[in-house]
Amino acid sequence: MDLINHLALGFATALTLQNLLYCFVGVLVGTLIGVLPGIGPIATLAMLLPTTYALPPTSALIMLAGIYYGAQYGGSTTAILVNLPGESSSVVTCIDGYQMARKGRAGAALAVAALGSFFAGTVSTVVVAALAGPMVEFAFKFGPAEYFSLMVLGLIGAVVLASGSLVKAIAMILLGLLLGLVGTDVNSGVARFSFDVPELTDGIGFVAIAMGVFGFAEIIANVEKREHREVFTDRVGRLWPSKDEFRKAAPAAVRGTLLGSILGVLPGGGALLASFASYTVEKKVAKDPSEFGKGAVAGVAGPESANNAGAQTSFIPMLTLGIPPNAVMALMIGAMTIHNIQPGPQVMANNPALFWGLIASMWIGNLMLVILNLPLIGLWVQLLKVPYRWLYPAILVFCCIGVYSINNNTFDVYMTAAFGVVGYVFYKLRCEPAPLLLGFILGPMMEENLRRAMLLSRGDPTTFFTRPLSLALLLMAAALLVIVALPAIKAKREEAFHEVD
Amino acid sequence: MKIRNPKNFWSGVMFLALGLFFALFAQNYDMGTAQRMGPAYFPTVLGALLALLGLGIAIGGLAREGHDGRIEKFHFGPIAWIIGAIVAFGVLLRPAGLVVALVALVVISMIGSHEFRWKEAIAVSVVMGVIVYLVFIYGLKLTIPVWPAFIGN
Amino acid sequence: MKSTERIADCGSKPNGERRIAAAAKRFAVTLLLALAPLAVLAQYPAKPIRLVVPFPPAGATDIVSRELARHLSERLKQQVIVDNRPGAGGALGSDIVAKSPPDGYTIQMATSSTHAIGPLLNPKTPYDPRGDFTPIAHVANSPNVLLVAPNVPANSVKELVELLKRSPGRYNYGSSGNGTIVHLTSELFKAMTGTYVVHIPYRGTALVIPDMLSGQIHLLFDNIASALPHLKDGKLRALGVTSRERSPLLPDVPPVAQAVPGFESVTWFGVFGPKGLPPEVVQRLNGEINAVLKSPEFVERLRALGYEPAGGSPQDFAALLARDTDKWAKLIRERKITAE
Repeated sequence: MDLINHLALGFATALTLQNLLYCFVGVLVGTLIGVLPGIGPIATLAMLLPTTYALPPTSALIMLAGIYYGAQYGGSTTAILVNLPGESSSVVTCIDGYQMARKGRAGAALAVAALGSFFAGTVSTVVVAALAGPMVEFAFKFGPAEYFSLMVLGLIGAVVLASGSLVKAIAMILLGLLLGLVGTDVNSGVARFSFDVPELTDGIGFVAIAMGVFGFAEIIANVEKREHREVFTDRVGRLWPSKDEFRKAAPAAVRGTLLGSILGVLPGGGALLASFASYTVEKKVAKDPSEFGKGAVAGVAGPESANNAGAQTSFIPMLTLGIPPNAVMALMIGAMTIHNIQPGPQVMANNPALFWGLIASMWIGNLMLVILNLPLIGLWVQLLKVPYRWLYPAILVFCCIGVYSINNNTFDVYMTAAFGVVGYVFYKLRCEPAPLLLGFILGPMMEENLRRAMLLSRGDPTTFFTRPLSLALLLMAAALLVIVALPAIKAKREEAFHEVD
Repeated sequence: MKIRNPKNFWSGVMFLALGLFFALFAQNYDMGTAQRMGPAYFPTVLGALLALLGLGIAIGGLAREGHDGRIEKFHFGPIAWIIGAIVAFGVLLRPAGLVVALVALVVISMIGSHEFRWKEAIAVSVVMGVIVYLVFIYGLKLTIPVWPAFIGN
Repeated sequence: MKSTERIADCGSKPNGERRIAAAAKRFAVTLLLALAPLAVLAQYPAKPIRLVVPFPPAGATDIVSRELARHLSERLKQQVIVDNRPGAGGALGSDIVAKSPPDGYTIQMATSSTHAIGPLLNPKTPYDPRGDFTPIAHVANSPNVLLVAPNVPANSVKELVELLKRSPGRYNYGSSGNGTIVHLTSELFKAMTGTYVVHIPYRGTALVIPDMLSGQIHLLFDNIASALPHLKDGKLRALGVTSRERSPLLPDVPPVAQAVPGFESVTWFGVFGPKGLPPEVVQRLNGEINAVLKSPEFVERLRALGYEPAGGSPQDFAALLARDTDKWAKLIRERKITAE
């Protein structure tokens, strides 16, 4: 079968000593970058790009790709350990992962994240190898109208991210949407809500808002607790997940992988939705939803698998069409171009060793990451035993430097501080930040696609309903709305009945 | 008028204020029509929705108690010191260099903790200083000024 | 001067000798002052030079800048360090350089969007591109290529214009955003051909491609290097390049100017310093940059990204900036293009 031949060629290419070495260097650097808050893969890739000129293109790409998904692994680590989402995909991991860490289950959370990601990486590598063509066809069916409907679906699901009041979650989503609108409007070129501050014309940075609202607010909240209670319980249990945790995590990982693989192919930002979507599914499918938000293992396994699957399948539009779904991929296309390789359908035909070698190395990279990360879990857990009064200044240092280094601009540091205050207020008022962040991420994309779809249809709003895929997505959104609202309505009715009594 | 659920009440007020802020400020931009939306359209609609929702939440906070509605005391100490430390870092970084900014960040933020001891603050500063130098300057070769500007970079 | 004269006076020498001594001292000082610029020249660069890149790392501008910095470091025997200061479409970094001391140690890579188009569209730009800067060297040009979707029945620019004239408002063109060079180039095309195509802005041209392939967007002026893979694949077709001559990357594609006389739209990249830069520094940098542009390795990298090396004197560069700014200013006025 062709697939076996291709994979054989791929592994033969990827398993050379040189390529293995570069793969290892890539994932190692990527993990370190991912663990450091603020600094993302983009800056690193930019710095390392010149060193790759001298390398053969396959090795260069293997290393760069390694950095990319290595950073995903590293980002999950900080999300779990210190409630700092390194990238948009790690936001969801913070919710239950960090709570697991606080309960002494950090080791289990990290292990579940690593294993779930590895499983997802394996499956999606096969998916990429076998189904690249048909998935691209599927991705083509998505135009602006479909993306809009998909995002509506995503946002309704976002309500599920909160474990508290439904109404407040919706309000947080709306607020997030509004914050996402700060910046230059793509359709008119106007800088909205920038108050003549030049740094705001590109919008509020994701890192500033995520680090401030999640990380800094958490630190302030912990420091103010006068009871001499350690943030992370001393009773750190077994490092490995228990049988029960495995049982709950495994099906979540499978579902997450499926979701992530499908969503990752959509170049217009599908991969971002993957972890959020998985969390929503897990919470709805779980036997005991009240666990979510307090350290449910499925809330870590599902999203982690989803975002790793999404990261791998997002290579499909990149390799087969030359369309980068995000800034990191755009960089890799740049790297390929410099090596005189044009990404596109001909890559498979003209450069089979490169194409399949890259795909095979993705699996090898995932394997290396698991081997690298699992032993590190012991190290991380030890780190958590450091008295919090020494730990939090260290976290602050890494965060501030990381944030500064994104744009070499101290404005970002001030922004993050401001959002730290905002996050603290949210914490006091019991408004949960995760829905806000999802709104922040999806808001601008949603508006862009809405207006673009309207422009294309020359102002005809029925376009969302006449295009079949868009209609299907909107119907799903409506159904989801009912599913989500039902328990809340039931609870209110019970309350009403009790009051009547 | 008793505020039965302060958390919800004040959340509602916050949302109401923010919603109005965005919706009103958006009027500076072009609204456009529903067919050709201008830059003000989305923010106005969303801001209005948020304000309405905020109003609803606030009223709910007045009327219904729910559970766990009391707001815990705001402690201004930790937040002031920690945020102050971060701001100090930002202010000091370029003129005074990474080393000075880092020490300021560590020491000032540690003052915010009720377990502050000078010896520990200095120890953490030194340890972090070394780690930071190795990781960021030596390892990642970031272009951050290390020493104060007058020493010459 | 006074102290030397007084010291000379302190000695008990006859008047004539004193006057000769004073004159000799004056001559020496004048000579030193005259030679001082040469001293500066000989010394420059005495410390590392900061090349500000007002764009995020790993974009095309950044890659070119880093390559240039590397080559310049070798030639100048001093480190040229890239400092990324992205934000506000390049205005943040450019402003930093505008306000830096003109000692030759802070320079920047600029493009036509930071120094020609941007300030025209945004009256709040904090610097004056012609007044606050010293042009140093024109590094490269990036022409665009006119792409059409598979469902557009035209095989040349001439056919396309006829098609557009027959059905105004039926076709869509994509751009990388309102106010970008892609947008302006498309509007220039519309103005010069008298056609009407609906503008659909995107965030960057990459996301236009899927919608072109599915037939919703019909035209796009894209960067040549990014367009190549889709052209090789045969799905999208290139009808013309936006430079006056053919591009070596697409030798079979005629310039749009063949069918639309006078049509030209090229994004340029160049190095600027703050205003008041000493002429010796400008000459030195210009000389070295022109030398780098002759290096085959550098040219290869440029071409791989779709750029053509440029070069020339600082005066040529200043003239280009003036020409380009006037051209776009005219278009913006006539078509009432605003960032609002």
